[in-house]
Parts: sequence; C-alpha cells; structure tokens
Amino acid sequence: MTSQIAAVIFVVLILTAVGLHLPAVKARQLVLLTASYLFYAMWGLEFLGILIISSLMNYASGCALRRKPTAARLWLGIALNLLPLVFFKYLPEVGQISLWQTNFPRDMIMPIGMSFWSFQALSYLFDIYFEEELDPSLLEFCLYMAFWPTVLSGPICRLPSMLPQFRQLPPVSWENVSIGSLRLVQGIIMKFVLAQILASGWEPSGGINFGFDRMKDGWGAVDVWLLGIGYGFLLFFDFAGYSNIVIGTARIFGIRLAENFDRPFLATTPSIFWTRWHMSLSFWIRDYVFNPLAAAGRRYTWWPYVVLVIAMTLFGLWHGPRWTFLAYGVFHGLVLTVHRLGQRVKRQFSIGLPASVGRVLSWGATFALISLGFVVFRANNLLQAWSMFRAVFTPADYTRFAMPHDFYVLTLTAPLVYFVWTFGYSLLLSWRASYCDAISQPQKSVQSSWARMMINNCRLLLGASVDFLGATLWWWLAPSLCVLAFWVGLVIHTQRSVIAVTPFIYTLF
Amino acid sequence: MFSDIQPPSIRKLGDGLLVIGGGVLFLVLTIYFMHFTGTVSSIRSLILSIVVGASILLCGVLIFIKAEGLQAVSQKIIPCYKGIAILVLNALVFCGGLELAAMTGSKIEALMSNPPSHLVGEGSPREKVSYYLSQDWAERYWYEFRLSRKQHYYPYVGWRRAPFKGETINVDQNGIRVTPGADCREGSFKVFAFGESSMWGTGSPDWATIPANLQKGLEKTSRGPVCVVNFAESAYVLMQDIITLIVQLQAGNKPDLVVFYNVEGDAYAAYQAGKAGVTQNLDQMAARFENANPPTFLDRLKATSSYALIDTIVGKLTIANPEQKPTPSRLLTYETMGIDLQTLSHSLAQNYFGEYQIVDALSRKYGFKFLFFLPPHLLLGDNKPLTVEEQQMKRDAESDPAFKNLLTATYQNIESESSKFPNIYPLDHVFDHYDSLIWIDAGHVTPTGNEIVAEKILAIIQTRFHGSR
Repeated sequence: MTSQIAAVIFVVLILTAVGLHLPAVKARQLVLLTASYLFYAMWGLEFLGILIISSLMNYASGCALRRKPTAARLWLGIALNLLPLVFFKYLPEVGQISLWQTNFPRDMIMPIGMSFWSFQALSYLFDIYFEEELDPSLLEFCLYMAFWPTVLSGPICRLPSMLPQFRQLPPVSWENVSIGSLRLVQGIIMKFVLAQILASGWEPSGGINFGFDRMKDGWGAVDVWLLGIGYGFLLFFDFAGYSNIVIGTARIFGIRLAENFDRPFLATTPSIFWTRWHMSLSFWIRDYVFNPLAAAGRRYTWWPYVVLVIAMTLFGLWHGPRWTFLAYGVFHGLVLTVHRLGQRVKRQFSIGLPASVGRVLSWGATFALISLGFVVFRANNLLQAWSMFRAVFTPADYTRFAMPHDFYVLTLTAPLVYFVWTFGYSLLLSWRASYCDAISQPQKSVQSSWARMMINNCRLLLGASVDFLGATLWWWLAPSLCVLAFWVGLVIHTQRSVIAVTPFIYTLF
Repeated sequence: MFSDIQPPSIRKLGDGLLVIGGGVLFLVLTIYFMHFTGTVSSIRSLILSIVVGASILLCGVLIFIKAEGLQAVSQKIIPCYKGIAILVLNALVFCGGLELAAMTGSKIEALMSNPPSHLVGEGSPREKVSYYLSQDWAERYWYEFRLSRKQHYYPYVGWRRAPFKGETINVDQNGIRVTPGADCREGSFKVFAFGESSMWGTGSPDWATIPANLQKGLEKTSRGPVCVVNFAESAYVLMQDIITLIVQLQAGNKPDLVVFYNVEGDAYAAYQAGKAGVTQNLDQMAARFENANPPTFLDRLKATSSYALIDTIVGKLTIANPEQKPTPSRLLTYETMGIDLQTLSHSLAQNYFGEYQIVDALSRKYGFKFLFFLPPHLLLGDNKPLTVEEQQMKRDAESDPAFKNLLTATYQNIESESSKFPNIYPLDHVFDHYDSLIWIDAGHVTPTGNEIVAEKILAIIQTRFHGSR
C-alpha cells in the first residue's frame, strides 16, 4: 500500500464521516458519491469514466423503462450492460486463443468490480420491468452504482433495499460503529489470517495453492478431498471475510447491506447451500434468471431442471470465461437437479430413516459434493480437474499421500476450528439467553438433583460471563486490537516491507 | 463569533472539526509509524501536519464547548478520564498477558521441539554443501561450530574463541584450536600458523585443518617431535596475527617457523571501514567501547517475546508470497563512502609489506624462519573448473562487486611487488585444474582443500628449508 492509497482511504473515510453530518440529504448523498468516486478513481481514472458512463446509460434506460416497460427496452438495457462486460471480461480471454493480429483484446483490463456493478444495474432494470416502485434520482442511482464499500467486489446490492437508506443516511452513531467495527475485525481476521494461512500454508508447500499450482500430478484421493475441502474454506474465509469487511464498513456509516454468507458449510442439502453461499449472486440468479425462465416453461415437468442447469452454468460463467468455471456451473446444476429428483423419489417412497440420521447423511453428502465442486472451480484447467477426480474415484489412490505432513494438519484443522467455533458460538449465545431469562424472570426454586443443579448453575455462570464480556465488549476488544495493531505495525516497520498477502480472490472475477 | 448560528449547527460543525482533526492526527501518526516514504518527507512537514491536525482538533473542542456549555463539558471530563483509564489499563493488562503467553509458548516450544543436538546448526548454505552429505562427522561438526563461536576478550588483539571441548572442535584454555598430534615438548620443531578463519579451519574438524595437515606432513619428514600451533582466529587481520606472535615471543615461546596465511581479513576490514590497517567490524567495536549505541527503546521492544511471536506469525503469513522481496539494506562500504579502489588496494598492499618487514626484523632478532602465503579465494583465479554448487557460491559472492574488486586489486598489487619479498608465496592458483568440489563458500574450503593447501605449503617449506631440521 503506498502513501497515496493510504491518504485517499483516510480522505474517503473522513469525507464520509463528516458528510453524514450535513443537514441536507442531497448534500450527504453528494459527499458520499464524491467519496465513492474518489475511492474508485484510485484504481484508474479511465475505470471511473466507464463507471460513470454505465451509471448514466442505465439511469436513462431505467427512465425509459419506467415510462414504457417493454421487452425491447429491457433487452436494450440488458445489452448495454452485457456488451461492455463481455467486451472487457470475456474478449481478452478469447483474444488469447484466437488468431487476432493485434494485442488489443489481450491488453484490455476490466474495470475492477464491473461484474458486480453491472449486475446491480441489471437488477435495477429488471425490477423496473417487473414494475417495482423505484424512482431514484440520478444522484441516488449513481451512488447506488458506485457506493464505495461495495463497488470493488460486492455484495451485489438491490436498489429497493438501498434507496430508502440513501434517503436517510443517518449520522454516525455509536451503535453502528460498534456493530460495524466488530464485523470489520471479524473480516480482517478471516481474510488476513485464516485465508492467508490456508492459501500459503504454515510451512512452505503446505498450503492449498501449492497443492493446486505446483503439483502437476500424483495426488492421492485423500489429497484431492482435502484440497477441495481446504479450498472451500479458503474461499469462504477470503470472500466471507471480504464481505464482512464491506458490510462492517457500510454499517459503521449506517448503511445495512444484505448478508452474503450464512454458515454455508452447515447446509444439509445442495439447495440450502445455495441460499447460504454468495447469497447476493445466487439470489440474483434465482430472481432474474431461474424464476422468469422456469415460469416461461412451467407446462413441462422437465423444464425447471433444464433451467436449473442453465442458471448454474451462468453462475459459473459469471466468474470468467474458463472451462473450469463452466464445468463448475454445470456440475452444480446437475447436483441440484439430482437433488430435486431425489426429493421427488423420497416423497413417493417414504424411506424410514430417523430424522437426525437422515440429516447427518444429507449433510455429509452435501459437504462432499460441494467440496468436489471446489476442486473443479480451483483447478487450473479441465485436465487437472479430471486427473484429480480420477484419483477420488480410484480406490487404490486412497493409500497414496503426496502432500507434506503440514498440509494434512492444516486442512483438517481448518474445518474443525470452523465447526467448533460455529457450534461453540451458538452454545455461548444460548447460555447467555438462559442467563438473561433467569435474571429477568426469577423462578422459584424447584426440587432437583444436586448434579442437575450444579450443571444449571455452571451454565448460568458461563452465561453471565458471556453477557458481561458482551456488554463490555469494546472495553477489552479495543485495547487488545490496539496492542495487536501496534505489534504488527512494529514488525512491518522493522522489516521495512509491506505485508504482501494474496489478493482478495473475488476481486479477480 | 458564532452567535448568529444555531447551537445544533455549531455542534455539528464542532463534530466535523473533531473528526477531521482527529483523522489528520491519526493519519500523520500512522504514516510516521508505518514509515511510508514520500508523504512525510521531512520532520518539518511532520510537525506542520501535527500542528494543523491539533489546531483543527482544538477548534472542534472549542466549538463543542461553546455549543454544550463549559459546565456540561466539564461534567463529561471525569467519565472520559475514567473511560480512558480503563482502556489504558486493559491495554497494559493485554500487553502483559500477551508477553506472558508468548514467553510461555516459546518455552514450551523449546521444550517440545528440542531437536537432537546433532541436528542443530547455523543453517547457513555452507552446511548443506554436498561434500558434507557423505561425512559422518559433518552434522556434529556444524553443531559444535555453532557452540564454539563464543568469543572472549583478549588483550591487544580484541577477541579469541572461548575454551571449547567437543568431538570435532577443541579450543584450549588460551583460545587456540587444538592440532591433533602436536608434540610441544622441549626441543620440538615449533611451527606457528597464523591467519583468519580459513587457517583456523572453518568447515573442517580438528584433524583436517591446514595446521593439522602440516603437523602430519612435518611428522613424516622431521626427525624429532613436531609442534604445529594453530594461532589463527576468525576475522583476524595480519596485524592481529603479528601481535599474537609478539605476545608469544614476549612470553619466551619462540617458534622455529612461522606461517602467515592471511589477506582476505585485511581486505574485508578495509572494505568495511574504507581504510587499511584496521580490524574487522571496527565501527561496532568502537561504538561498543564508546557506548555510542546503547540499546534503544526499539531494541528493547524487539527483544520481547511478544515481538518474536508476532514476527513469526507475520513471517508465516507472508512467506509463500513470491512477489514479496525484502528491501535490501544498504551496506556501508568503501565504495558507498566514495573511497577510490586503487588508493585503498595500494594502501592495503603497502601495509602488507610493512607487516612483512616487521616479521622479518623479528625473525632476525629471535632467530626463526617465516613464510607469507596469499590464500586462494573463490573470487580470484579462474582456472579451477567450478562445480554447479561452486558456480552458485561464486554468483552469490559476486552480488556485491565492491569486495571482489578490492580483493582482486589488492592481490594484483601484492603480487606485482612480491619479487622484492622472497618469503611471499601466492597460492591463489593452488586449486587450478581440480574439478571436484573444493569450496564451501567464497573463502573457505573442504578438508580436501585444506589438504591441497597444506601439501603446497609443505612443498615450499621443503624447498626453502631443506635440511634445516
């Protein structure tokens, strides 16, 4: 990070904080838009120009659609968004394999975050076409497109949820700062510690990236499973960490963004997984691709399955023009189709398994399938993906272990820590709730066994501790963070180098 | 001043100024702390930024007081003070807790990961040279080498190794590396070997140093007992060798033959200090003597367990990033000081001849023979076919051409005038035509290399002093 970038970020933060105290809403919006454009301009003035042009075009398309919501106008609006996206995102890749005489398509650089803000613009056009009551001013729409916390890598926002907030823009409040900062810290830890360790490994050659990039062949079946699982968690810590940073930053300034992840690895079916993973994109695909297409051919029972595969393929291709992304989309389309068919079969032939056993089996199968999906997603090419899949389905390969010892420790520890943390956190919250109930409604003493009483009291004591720590959160968290920041800063300062962590994965899409 | 503005507006203005002032101060302090270059180009601009930030902050506070009323603000001072006190106390508690945890963690790690002694080493590339893979003493040697590097202060010369007793390295009570088989009884043929680490035997066990090979060779040709004493010491320059000799003569310990094997020590000292006739690491020794560099607050912070822990974690998080390149620290050398190479190398050569003349005078006074050898160096002589490992070593050594240039020029200057000094023998071509691995780094050789050097020295001794004993 150069001094200029640091300075711009500080200016953006100060502009936003001060701007939100201005009396007129329009003035607040204007300052926020200025801050957003300033922030985006750090990545290139020409990118900012493209964003502004896109915002103006989409606003004009929206106005036209509002006046007369015809399919032709909608398609024109779609084309105005998709053409630049195809031009910047897909053409350079096509240029590499084509016989073009110039380097023109290869040398093009996509404006950062274009995949995200183009989809935001499309959702606005679809919402108007579906006659949603939306009447943003040009200023509001430009702010929606360029809102600085989300402009780089989402989450993909929707105007119906953002517009009312832009029209209020409350001044900075302690509550928002507290909640937002907590999310921010959570995101920073997820990205810069957990994702980084998984990507690079605790020891060189013990990380996920080594397993995919350096090894050309010879994976054992367990290696592939762990690479898939490990990459799933790496992607989760990276992108959910990023989302937490964005959601937290926006919340500090009083804007509530939609969640992007919701404990995806606890999903018990593939359908549930897609309501918890990269929710802003999967819901976008559901609302604007799957639902309209499925409705169009509802006469045919097979049609929704075809649409499912199409929608998921589109989901895969959204990440970029690579065969692996295409295969990833098709793979998940097929998994969802099989799951739906399986549910139909299950309804017809009731299978007498206890509910809890069924849930565990279903969770295991879902976890395994999504982990295999991550292998396809991360593989450098289809050949590598195929080679890794072959290892999974070759029984003899289950006795071969090609990765270093640290890799196994790391990839087994990451899920373990995640599940322990997830369940542990829920448990702590439940204890806290019991404690709060107990003090708000004191119950008469009931005769119970000594052991039971002890357990209850311990639970209440733990609940009280959690409640105390929660109530005094910033009294201990702020000093701890300051001390940690001081030590990390000192280490970086004395090493005379910048921490060069791997970039956010989703800024590449 | 603000009487025409309504209080809520004044308060908002005050809030804004508080945010801006605090932000500017925070930005300035962060930039200073992180040592970003460019933004804070001078101390004056830093002070100016702090003054601007503080002024804005002060304006904010004054407006805030104006809007809220002095009494209301004063009522907030005590809770604010309490809050800050709690935060500071918690920060101190966390600091202490972190230090305690880091200290305990490092102790436990040291206990749990205590590797077998034979695996402990310096970890430097020379330990991994292929030659050592086939030597069963190698791991033990490098372990003992690390342990034996402790130095003691010695009068006149500055330092010598502390006494050490090992399987491959033994240093006696006088800081002298033991030469196996040396028989120093009355009437023995005494050879004093002087030099720096290459003569001391870095990379070789006691039985394979140059003095040990001389001992074996002389035993074969000599009729009586032979006593080769290894007075060499790491990082010595020729003057330290001569002082050591004088101290021995003063004590009545008279040799029959004295062998000097040193140029690199002087060249390196001159490379560091920009002048000839000084010891190595002169700046550090002078600073220590003058107490010019007492440990700073930063040094004390860096010595804590918390720093070590965070340093390890940050290192782990960045280790696999191929784009991260450490910023090379700029070495202070004669070149960076703007000192002319030819002048310095000429001065080094003249010093060398001056020292030769001192030894010559001493030899006549005390009745011993002496020989000066110019040791071989990887950066000199290009007739040895280098192995792949040696080529890599050479590339590494050439990363700073200033030392190579100085060493080469000094050798050329000495060799061009060496005909005037009959006891000077250049050995820079001693490994010519040996195609096996000899070098373990730019200045040190394998035991095989020591054997070749010793053979050459023995041959010269035989030629020069045949029949003297």
